[in-house]
Amino acid sequence: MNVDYETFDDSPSPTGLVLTVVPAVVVALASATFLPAAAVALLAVLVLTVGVRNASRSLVTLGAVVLFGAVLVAGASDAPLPFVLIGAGATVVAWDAGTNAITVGRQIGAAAETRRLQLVHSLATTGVAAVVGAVGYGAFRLASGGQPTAGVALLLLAVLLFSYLLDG
Amino acid sequence: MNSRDALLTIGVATAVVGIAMAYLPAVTVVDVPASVPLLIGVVALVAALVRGRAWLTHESRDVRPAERERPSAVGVPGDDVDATLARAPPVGSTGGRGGADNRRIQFRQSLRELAVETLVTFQGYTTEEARRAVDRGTWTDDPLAAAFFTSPTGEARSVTGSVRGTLSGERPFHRRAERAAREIERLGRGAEP
Amino acid sequence: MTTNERSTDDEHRRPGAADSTEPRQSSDTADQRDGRGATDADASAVNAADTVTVEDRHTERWYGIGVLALLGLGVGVLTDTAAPLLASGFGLAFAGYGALTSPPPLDLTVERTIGDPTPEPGDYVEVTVTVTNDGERSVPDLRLIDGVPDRLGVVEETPRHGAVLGPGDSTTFAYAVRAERGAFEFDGLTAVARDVSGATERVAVVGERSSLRCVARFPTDPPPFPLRAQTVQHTGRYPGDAGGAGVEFYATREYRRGDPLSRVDWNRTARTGDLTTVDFRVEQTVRVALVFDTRRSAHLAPSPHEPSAVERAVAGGTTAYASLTRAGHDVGLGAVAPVDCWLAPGRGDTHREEARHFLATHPVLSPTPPADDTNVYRATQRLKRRLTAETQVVLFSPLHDDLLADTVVRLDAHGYAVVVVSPNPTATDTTGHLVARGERRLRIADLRSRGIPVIDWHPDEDLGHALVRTRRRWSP
Repeated sequence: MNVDYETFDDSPSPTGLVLTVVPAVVVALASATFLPAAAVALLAVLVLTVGVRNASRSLVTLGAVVLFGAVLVAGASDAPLPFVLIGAGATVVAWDAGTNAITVGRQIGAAAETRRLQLVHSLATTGVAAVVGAVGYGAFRLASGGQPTAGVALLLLAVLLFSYLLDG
Repeated sequence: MNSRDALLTIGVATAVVGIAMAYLPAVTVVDVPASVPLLIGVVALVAALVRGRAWLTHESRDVRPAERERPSAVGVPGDDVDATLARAPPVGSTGGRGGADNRRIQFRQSLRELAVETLVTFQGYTTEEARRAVDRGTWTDDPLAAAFFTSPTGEARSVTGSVRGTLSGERPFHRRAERAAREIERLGRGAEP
Repeated sequence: MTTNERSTDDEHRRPGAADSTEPRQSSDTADQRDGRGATDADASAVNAADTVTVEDRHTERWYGIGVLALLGLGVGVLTDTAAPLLASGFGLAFAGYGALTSPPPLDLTVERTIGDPTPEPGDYVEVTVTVTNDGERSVPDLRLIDGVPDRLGVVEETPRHGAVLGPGDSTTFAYAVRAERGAFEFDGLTAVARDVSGATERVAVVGERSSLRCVARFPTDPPPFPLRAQTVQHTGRYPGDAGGAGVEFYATREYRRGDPLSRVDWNRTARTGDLTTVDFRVEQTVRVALVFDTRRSAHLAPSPHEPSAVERAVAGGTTAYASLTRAGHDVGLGAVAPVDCWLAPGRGDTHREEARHFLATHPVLSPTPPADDTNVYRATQRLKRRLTAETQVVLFSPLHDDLLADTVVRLDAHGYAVVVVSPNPTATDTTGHLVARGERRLRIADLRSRGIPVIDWHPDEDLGHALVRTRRRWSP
């Protein structure tokens, strides 16, 4: 006598996919001033979709890196700064939503109702990205010379330090 | 304040100074030659590549609660035999390492006894007849099952066979073992109510 | 030998927080949900006081985000443009975001309602869980998994839920489990709270230990159960028995329309052409002990999520009890287990009720395997002290090893009449499983050759059908 027990479906829910793809498409739009960048961004959207569908964190991360690459290329091709910042912020939001969707799938599963949960998380990340973007934009407007190169070198040092420290 | 916090503070301070240097003309510490940007850029990209690889293979440490949807798993009779077989390395591969390479030989011996007893109990053989049939391979029509007992180590005898065997020694042994076990089970069905 | 395992790892239940924020006791005293009358003490959903145990962990989910900053810096510097440099700020900021957050404090209350407090085996029982945030801070990311008992399974919806709870908010979810015979404890609900960045997790078990008891009813028309040929003298056995026909038919009468077909003596029908019914009414009362092999190693099934041999054995024992008491015999219950387990043989309404509860709720007969090993010799000695010379023993065992088969042979040699009912737990999908199946067959054949009847009971088969199948084999 074989009872039909529920099996745990640990795949990401459709909500998670939507929360990942929407910001990714925003990135593509923001990079539209430089068409090759936009094309690369759309490719990244595809990679992200496949990554979320298959619950592969590696693919989602790869998609985010490609997406960010598109943003940087657009930025280096004299895209307007606000668009670049929006694109960069949206990349992080997309990656965060995708990896969160995978985790929610593994912990709660696709059968349970997780819309509000994932939405709140993504909204918080978007908020932080907005603040970072605003600060960055503000800092740029305030800039009036100085030694960018040395400054960047120090920034690099800081980033290396951070990323070594924080990741452990 | 431990070392981690200290480094964190240094990192934040460095970032702040770096940003300040980049933007404010008042903060000018040192004169920098033109090749430095190139160096910085390359270092940054190389570091990105190295860290990027680590990032791609990183698995986040989320807690994974135990499955509750189905009743907890119980064992199936014979799981221990499967586990032993999975761990049993090919004969001769471990050289002088104790009885480890004997696991396959031991298994073959037990299965041989099971075959003999099954033939005696369910197929009407005498013990002598059964032993002979197993040694000769006449107890079954399945060549792989018969070969499990007739070849000296349960594996291929020919040179090419043994070369192939050492390269992929796993599969022939396990396949033949499974066929032999299946044949023995079939012969034991006999006159069941 | 066999291991019982849960599917995934990482169930963190160690008490003790690593933080300065201590786990606080939530409000005590849950409701007493036992509103049932004294007569029907079949099942209850008793709730225990809430407790919270805590473990904090870092998820490392923002690991590697700094790579974006490095990319931005590299591109910006090499192309001498400002925008990528500014974009790299995101990588830096989010790396910090992931390092500077801490898990939210957890102060939850759980209320679990079990729908049907007196389920029958096979019923779907609805479980409703309400979780309330009693704290002053909101929990922005709460993931809940209810503590479904080990040996029960979920048949509808899911015991998992996600929620965002502000202070004072609550969330509710429901699912259904399939009731099985036995007494079960729900574990506490597992709550995983994350801060809004997802970088840290606080895992807690909110201890709402509800119980569910499911007592099977005896079947109203159980199939006739075979016994060994009864002796007339008080010592020794009937000399004619050595041949192996261990099942006796006491009388036959004309077939009456309405007789269950399982009682029809098909062999006789084949010989004489008319339908006769086997009747198990006996002149003398027989004392029977139904003994269950409930050792840890006996909890086996053809696949990991099917009912185990022990569960099937107890179900079979329930049928056997009903059948034999109906035929007028005194039936008792015992087990081969790490601890003593015995109900003296008897019959009648009081004994029946006792036996019903015994079968459903005695911890030795529980679907959960025991933690300790069983000393078979000692268990057999305990049993023998309770058996008189005329007590027949019906042993329910999967016969997965030689220990109990040897015990049966010894009991038989000492003059006890033994019948073995063996739920077949073997499978045919791997080499090891096939070997185990072959070995079990030899054990059964060996017992049968000594004149001990063994009913080889297949997984998807009704016990009545297995009995008929076996009877057909031995009838004169």
